[in-house]
This record gives sequence, structure tokens and C-alpha cells, in this order.
Amino acid sequence: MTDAKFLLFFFCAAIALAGAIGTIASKLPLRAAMSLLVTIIALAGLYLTLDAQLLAAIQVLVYAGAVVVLFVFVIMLIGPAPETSSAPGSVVWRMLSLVGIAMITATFAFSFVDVASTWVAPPAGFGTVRGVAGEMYTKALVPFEIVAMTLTTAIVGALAIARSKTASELAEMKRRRVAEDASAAAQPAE
Amino acid sequence: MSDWLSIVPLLLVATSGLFIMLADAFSKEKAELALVTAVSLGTAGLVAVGLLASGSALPPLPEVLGSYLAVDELSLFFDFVICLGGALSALVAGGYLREHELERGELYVLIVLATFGAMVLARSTDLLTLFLGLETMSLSVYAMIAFRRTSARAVEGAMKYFLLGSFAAAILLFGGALLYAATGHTDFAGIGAKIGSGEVEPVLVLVGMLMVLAGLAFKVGAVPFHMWTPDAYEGAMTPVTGFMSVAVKAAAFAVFVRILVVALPGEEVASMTSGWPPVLIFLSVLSMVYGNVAAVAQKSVKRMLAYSSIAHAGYILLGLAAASVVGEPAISGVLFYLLAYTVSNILAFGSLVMIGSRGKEAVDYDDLAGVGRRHPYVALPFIIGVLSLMGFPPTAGFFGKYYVFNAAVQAGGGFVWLAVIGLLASAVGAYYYLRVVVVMLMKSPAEGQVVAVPMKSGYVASALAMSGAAVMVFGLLPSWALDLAISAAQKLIG
Amino acid sequence: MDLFTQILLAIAKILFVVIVAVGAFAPVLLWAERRQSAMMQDRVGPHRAHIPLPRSVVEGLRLTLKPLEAGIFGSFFAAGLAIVALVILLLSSRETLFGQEAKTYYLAVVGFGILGVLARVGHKVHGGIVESGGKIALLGLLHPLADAIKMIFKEDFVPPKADKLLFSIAPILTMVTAIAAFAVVPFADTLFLECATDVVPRDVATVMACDGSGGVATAIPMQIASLDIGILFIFAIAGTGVVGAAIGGYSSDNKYSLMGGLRAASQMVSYEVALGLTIVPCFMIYDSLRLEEIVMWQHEAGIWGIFIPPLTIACVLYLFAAIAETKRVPFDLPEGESELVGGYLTEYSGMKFGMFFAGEFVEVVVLGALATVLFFGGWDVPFLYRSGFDLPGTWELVIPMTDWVIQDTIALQHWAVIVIQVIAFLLKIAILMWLQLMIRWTLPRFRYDQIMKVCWKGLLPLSIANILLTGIIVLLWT
Repeated sequence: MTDAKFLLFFFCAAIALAGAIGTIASKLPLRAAMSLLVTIIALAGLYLTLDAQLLAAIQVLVYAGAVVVLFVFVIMLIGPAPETSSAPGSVVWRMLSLVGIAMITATFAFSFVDVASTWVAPPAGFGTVRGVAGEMYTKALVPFEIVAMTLTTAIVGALAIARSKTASELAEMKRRRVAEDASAAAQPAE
Repeated sequence: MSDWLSIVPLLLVATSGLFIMLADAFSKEKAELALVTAVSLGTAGLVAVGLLASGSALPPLPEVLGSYLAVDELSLFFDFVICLGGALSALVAGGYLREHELERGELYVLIVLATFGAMVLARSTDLLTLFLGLETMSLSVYAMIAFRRTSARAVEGAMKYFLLGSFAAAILLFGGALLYAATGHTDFAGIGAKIGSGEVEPVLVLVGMLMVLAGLAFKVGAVPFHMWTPDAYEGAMTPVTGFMSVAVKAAAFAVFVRILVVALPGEEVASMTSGWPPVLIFLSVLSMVYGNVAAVAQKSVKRMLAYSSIAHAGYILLGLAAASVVGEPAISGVLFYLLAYTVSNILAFGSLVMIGSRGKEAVDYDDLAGVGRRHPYVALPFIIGVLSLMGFPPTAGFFGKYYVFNAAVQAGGGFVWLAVIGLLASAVGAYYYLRVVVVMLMKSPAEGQVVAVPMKSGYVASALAMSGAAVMVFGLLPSWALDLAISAAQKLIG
Repeated sequence: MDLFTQILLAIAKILFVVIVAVGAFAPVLLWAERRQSAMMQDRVGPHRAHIPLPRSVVEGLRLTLKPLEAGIFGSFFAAGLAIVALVILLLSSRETLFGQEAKTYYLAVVGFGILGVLARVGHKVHGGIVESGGKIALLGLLHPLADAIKMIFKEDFVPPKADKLLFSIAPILTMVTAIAAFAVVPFADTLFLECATDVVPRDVATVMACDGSGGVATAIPMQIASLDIGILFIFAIAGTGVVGAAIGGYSSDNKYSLMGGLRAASQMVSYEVALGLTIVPCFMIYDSLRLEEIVMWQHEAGIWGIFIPPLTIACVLYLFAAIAETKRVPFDLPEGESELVGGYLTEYSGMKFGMFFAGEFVEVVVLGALATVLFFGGWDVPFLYRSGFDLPGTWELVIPMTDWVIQDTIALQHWAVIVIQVIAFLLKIAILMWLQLMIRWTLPRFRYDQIMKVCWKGLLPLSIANILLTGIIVLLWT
């Protein structure tokens, strides 16, 4: 089974990387979103190699089914963007960013080199619906409840910004309309 | 049931948040919600301080809740500080919203939820709860800044804070992931024990620690992570600015204390040569110097207070750095400083609200010209607040600064020099604080300028009365609050 | 079971599903839909596609008509005579009549009856063909086939300014995701390979091999993949399908398409949330996400989900959300022709359009299959068990004057049980599809804001309330 998993891992990892590069390299926003979709699904495959079935399903469900759709939605609402050339960026900055990437890569490479890379068999029930639910509702009850509050906060916050108008906003609109009417009336009738 | 005793303030805040949300849907009179908010947050704060003052041993939480929330005096102390900030801000907001016809109940819900997030953050003993608390708090603060959505400034500030804040949260999360990778634990105690045992990859720990510290430094607005502060503070409605500068900062510093003392106490990471103290010193010196110097150049009082809050973050970071050497006196100094800072800052921002009214808000120095002579009763609380922020005896701010600098001096060595830098920076601070007072008392408004007219609001007045009284009481009789801080710090260090 | 057999079986199952879903159900649905609409609107309908027959054959068929008529009359007359004989036998309490036992007459009644009916049908079909001058129209069932051929050979037009890559991916995404969702749907009970021609014991967990080897029989689950996440797989896959409609609308470089794509995306995302929540009570009661376990629960409990009160509500809500999710009337705003020409399909032609079209119909089949599994017992047939039928009670029915006995238990060979289950499952899906069809041709289209209001203010709170109710019931029950 391990060999198959290795194969799956490399397959998914390659696709995920290709998708990620596509996401940042693509000039058309919708193609970038589609590349992101590819990456997301490949990541779900990576979760499968780690025996996290439920997580993989939720990854696809939430990210591919909701988040990417929202991205697409926003892109469609805004409409096709005019062709924009990428920011020129001086040579120095490009070199510096390359150096930075190299340093970060080196740091992680060095720190992971002597981490023993053996496959550990997951405990029974790992990654299944029952297993995850058990962990979530018993051991991680407190974070779970706090997440509920976090989501409530997000909804209330979104409402606070997007909801119906306040008295002062309404008054301002009315003032503006009255002013417009007045200016329209002031013009001579034709 | 007594198992739950120590998190009663948290539960109170959570339930009142949900209750206010429901009440908002059915209520016509939104200002009453401000009162409900203030009362419930105040009750939670009083429960916390009552538990703290009773000195009885706190029962551990039921086992099912795991080790995600701390049960100790430190968290009760922060519960008190945060709830106090939240309650007073809610009162100020009650008057402000009505005066400026922005009344919508969501703001109160957001205040309570932000308070809840801040309390969770201050209580967190695990990277999971840390992140969740941080997000709950931040999300509601973003929304509160953007609340006055017709104002371009507000939207700009909220956008900047949101984007940078998300980035900072991601960095913090990534740092947490590295710490987990290095130690195999997400709880602070487990991380601390593993690091203490020395069987960890030092690179991972250091990189992870730096990233977590950077994320937290962003939330307290320490230089060089301060870019968002002036814009967000200026763009937000003044009561919200008060809340941000108080509760958010207190909660973030609570995590600082907890992470530094519990998760990263090992020789390797807490040493002056290779650990977090030099990082904190770096942040602290930059914040103290830059905050004070930049505040001098501001034209807007709100921006000036924003930069001054950066400077205050610097002083507190100095105390935290000193904690690596002296421990308890430094931590208790920091705790007292945060309490004093909370009441003084609410006093300053609250009176700024009080001085202005619809269409005639007080934001710039020019708006304040001569207010002291025209409306002395409104100017008085502002002057007291500013003096306390400056550290003028006998206000609460004086003792806050005194305890922090005293701890630095006790730590000896290079910390003495740091204390000297802090004092010099405070001297710069005295200039711009006193400048406001001078403008208020001596200057006359320019010809034809719209002068700020004080609003009439029982809510704001009562908030000012309470915070003003607190500033004076903590200044004249600091021992009671200091004792609480000392006992909390002692229990934490054990 | 070696790897080769496993792969072979998997391929066989995939083929079965694809043929049933895409090859059979989707065209039939399409046909039924047109047929129904033609009836309602008094049009000709899908009748014109036909296979022409040579004139000589038609003439030959015309000659058979008269003999067939005679055959019908003869068969029914013979059956009538046999009935009369039976009545005489019964009344006169004799053993034989004209030297024949009662058994013969029973057989005669059944045999001649069937013969007569067959002849009647044959006459009708032949008559139809002859009347139409040698065109085999098969009730118009050929129409979808003709459509498919037409679409394949039609010009595949791509708008010049369209994003060609995305334009081509969109229909593939829509159809593939719709078909892939079928992977976890079980269409029958476990098949025990070695016991196919034996009667399997009714309530045994592991069935011993029937070839006398003493080993355990090879169990073949009758579904392509048995996943622990079960139903979540369907939702995950279906969720990805939303993107298909959206990018199809965007990449067409057409305002109508764009609006259609926008509407499709927002409608599907909204109703996906409601759809997911409506079936949560099912998981709470069945205590599993695996579709085969859900069916097994209903099979063993002897009660279909729809008859358990909270699930009755869930079923109604589910069907509502499911129809909206498939973007069909009365929820077909994304392609509402009176407003948006063809919505996101406007610029599509040829097989790309065909794939969108097929994907949409397959989606209807998938959601019908899901409803069957969740609320109508899946492959479960009342009183049919692994060992055969077991009707309630213990009784015998002796047919008069014969030694034929009808018992409460009728043992059936294993393969027969499986076949009956598969047929039952397909029949249930067909009925549900017909229901959707009737709704489609009965209700007028909603307005867009109404669709959103119904979802977020109607379905969502109701389904959450239903979850709460189910929670209380489960808590009191256990």
C-alpha cells in the first residue's frame, strides 16, 4: 500500500505545484481561479495519502464547491479586466526576492533533513467521519465552541457593514435627492 | 457546577453577546442596548475581579474541556481589564451613535463578541485557542472600524487593517505550525516542556517563535509592525478607537506574557544572546522612540493618540523583556500598566467624543482650541486622561510607568540603559501631551472656524466619570490593584 | 479475490452505472419530458425520428394483421373457455373434465391470457407501423438517439473572442462531475459470487461459500466505491460541478451567458447549503454517512425513511432543494429563455451543448437516486430478503383442486434477489424522476429574488429546525 501512496503523493504533489504556478502565472483572473481549483483538488488527494478521508472531502466541498465558486463569482461580477502588464520591478528587487526564497528554502531543507521520514500507521478510525467527529466533540470541544462564536462574529460583522442604511445615511440620501430635484427645477424648461 | 467557576466571566460575555444579538433584532431603541452591553460586560468584569480578590483557590475545569483555557489569576485579571474596556467603550458608543445618528445594534454585538475573543485570547493556553480568539477579536474589530461605511477614511482604515491583519494572522499561524512541527505539541505547557528537554530542532523553534512574536507584535502595534495603526485609529469611530487601543492590546499582551513565560521559558530561547529578549528589546526601543517622535508631528489628536499608543506598546514590551531576568515584578508591572492604560485611554477617547457633536466633531488640535475655557467640565476629563497617559503623578499612568521602569532597573545591566531611553522618550511624549492641554486652555479658535460643541449624553458622561474616578483611585491608592497584579504574576510563575 | 477480478468487477460496475445513468435514464427522461410537454401543449412531440422499413416488409406486415386479429380473438376465447371449465369443475366437485385435470385448465387460462395480450400488443405495434407507411418510431424513443447523432455531427461553434480553453472545459466539468457522483450509490445488496445460483441464508453476516469448499463466499458490494465519507463525496463532486456552469457563462463572451452563469453559480451555491442541511436528519437517524449502510438500516428496520416523521419533512425539503439545485423549472432562471435567451448555454452548440444537456439530466438522475437511497429504501423491496420473499405471518394458500401451494415464504435464488433489487431501485428512481417532470411542467417560473428568499429564509431555517427536532427525537428515543 505504501508504494501506491507514494505514487499518489508524487502525482498529487506535482499537480498541486502545477496548479499553484498556474494560479500566479496566469494573466486571466478566471484561469487563475481554475488553476487554484486544480491545486485544491490535488491537495485533497494529498490528504488522502495521509488517510484523512473526511478532511479531503471537506477540502473539496468547502474550497472547490464554495470558495472557488465565490472567487469566480466575484470575477464575473467585476467583469473581464483590461490587459495589465505585470509590474516591472527593478532587477535588484527581483534578485533580492530570489535570495529570500533561496534562504527560506535552505532553512527548511536543513531543518527537515534529519527528521526521520518513516510512514507511521495511523490509529484505527483515523480520518474517518466517526474518528474526526469523536475528536471534535470530545477532546476539542472548547475550540469547536469558540469556532461557533468566531463564525457568528464574522456574520454579524458582514451584516454590520452590508446591512440596511442608518438614519444618518438615509437623511443624507434624501438631502442629495432634494438638492438634485432643486437643481433640476432651477433649469429652464425646454 | 463549581468546576466552571473560573470561566464564568467568559460564559457571561458569550451568552450576553448572543442575547444582545437577539435583542437587537426585536428592539426599537438601540441606545438601551448600549446600557445592556455595558451592564453585562461590567458584571463579567466584576465577577472576575471578585474571584480574584477573594483569593480562594480556583477549581480546575471539567476534564471534558481539556487544556485549552487557562484557569489562573492572570486570566481573571485580564478578564477584568478587557471587560472594563469593553463596558466603558460600549457606554461611550451609546452616546456617540445616537448623537451622530449611526444607531444600529450590530455595533454592540460586535463589541461584546470582540470582548469575548479578547478574553479567549488572554486565556488561551493552546495555539488553537490562541488563533481562534485572535480571529474572533480581529474580525469584529475590522467590522467595527468599517461600521461608518459612508466615510472613506473608515473604509480605508478597515481595509488596511484587514489586509495586514490577515497577513499577520497567517504569519502567526505558520509560526504556530512550525512550533508544532518542532515539538509535537500545540499547548504552551507541552511546547515549553519539550523545548526545555532540549530534544528539538532549534532552527524550527526560533523561526516559529519569531513568526508568532511578529504576529502578536502586529496586534499590539509595535514598530515595525505599526503601519496600520494611525489609519485604523483615525478612520474608526472614536469609541471604537478607544476599544481597539485598550482591549485588543491588553489581550495581545496577555498572550505575550503567557507564551513567553509558559511556552518559551527554556534557557536556549529565553537567553539574552539567542532568544526572545533581544527581539522584544528591539521592538520596544523602536516603538518607544518612533511612536513618541512621530506623535509630535501630528495635526490630528486621534492620530497623535494612535502614535502614543505605539509608544505605550514600547514601554510594555520593555517590561516584558525585563521579565526574562526579574520575572514577577516585571510582569506585575506590565499588568498594572495595562490596567492604568485602559482607564486613561478610555478617558481620553471618551472625552474626545464628548467634546464634539454632530457635524462638529473634535478631531484636530484646532478643533480643541479654547475648549477648556468655554466648557471646562468637558475639558477636565480629557486633561486628566492625557496627564495619566503622560505619566504625571498622582494619576494611574504614573505608577504604571514607575513599576515598569523600576522592573527594568531591577533587571540591571543593559536594561538600565533601556529604562533611560524609555524615560527620554516619555519626556518627548510630555511635549505633545502638554501641547493638547495648552491648546485647550490657552488658544482661541481661529476666525470663522467651526468650533466643537460638546454633546449631551448621560452614557458618555457616566463612562467618563467612572474612568476618571478609576484613574484617580489607581493613582492615589495603587496598592490594591497592584496586589492583585502581583498575586496573578506570582501564581503564573509559580 | 485477485487484483484482476477486482479491476474487472470495478469496470463492469462503472459500465453498468454509466449505461444506466447516461445511456438509459437521461435519454428516457428527455423523451418523457418532451412527450409530456407535447401532450400538455397539444403538439406532435418527439414522434418523428424513425427507422424506415422497405415497402416489401411493410406489405408483409400488413398481411400479418388479419391473422393477428384472429389470434387475439382465438386466444381470449380459449382462455374464456378454460375459465368456464374451471368454474364447472369447482361447482361440480369432479376430478376431471374431458379427461383433463384442473391443473391443465389453470395453465390454459394463464397461457392463453398471455398469448392474447402479446398478440394484442403485436397488433397494435404492427398496425402503427403499417399505418405510418413503414416507420418504426418506437413511441419517439428514437428521438434522443437522433438528437445525440445530430449533436455529434453539428458544427462545434466557438465564439471568436471566447476563452477557448475554459469554453471547452466547462461542459466536461459539468457532465463528468454529474456522472462521478454515482460512484457511491449502491444499486443492490451484496452479491455473493459463489452462491449466485443458490438460496442464501437470510440473516447471516458472513455467508459461507456454497461450493462446499468451506471458505467464505466472495462478497461483491454492488456499488463502485464504498467510501467512509459516503454522501459527502456526492456533495463534494457536485459542488465542483457548479464551476462548470459559471465558467461556461463567463468564457462565452456574451452578456446573456454571463448573467446566466452568475445566476447559476449563485443559485447552486445557495441551494447546495440548503440541500446539505436538509439531509442532516438522515445521518442522525441512520447513524452513518455510507449510503450502503443507510439502505441496510432501512432494510433491517423494515421501514423506509420517508415514514419516519422528521425524515418526512426532510424528504419534502430535500426534493424542493434538489429540483432547485438542478436548475430546472420552476428554478431555471439561469437559462430562462424569456429573459436571457439561453443563459449560460447561449453560445454553446454541438456536442458541447450536448454534454451540458446530458450533465443536467444525469444530475436529475443522481439526485433522484440519492432521494431513493435516503428516503425510499434504496434497493429495498418490502418483504424481500436475501433468501427470497417472506410475507408477514405464517400461512399457506392451497389453490383449489391442485397440489399447488402458495406460502408466506418464497425462496429465491440469489441472482434473482439481486436482479429484483436492481429493478426496484431503478423503478424508484424512475418514479422520482417522473415526479420532478410533473413539477416541471406544472409550475411557472419563480422570480430571481423569490428563489433566493425561499432558499435563505425558507428552506434553511426550516431544515435547521428539523435538525433540532430530529435531535430531540433521537435523544428521547435512545
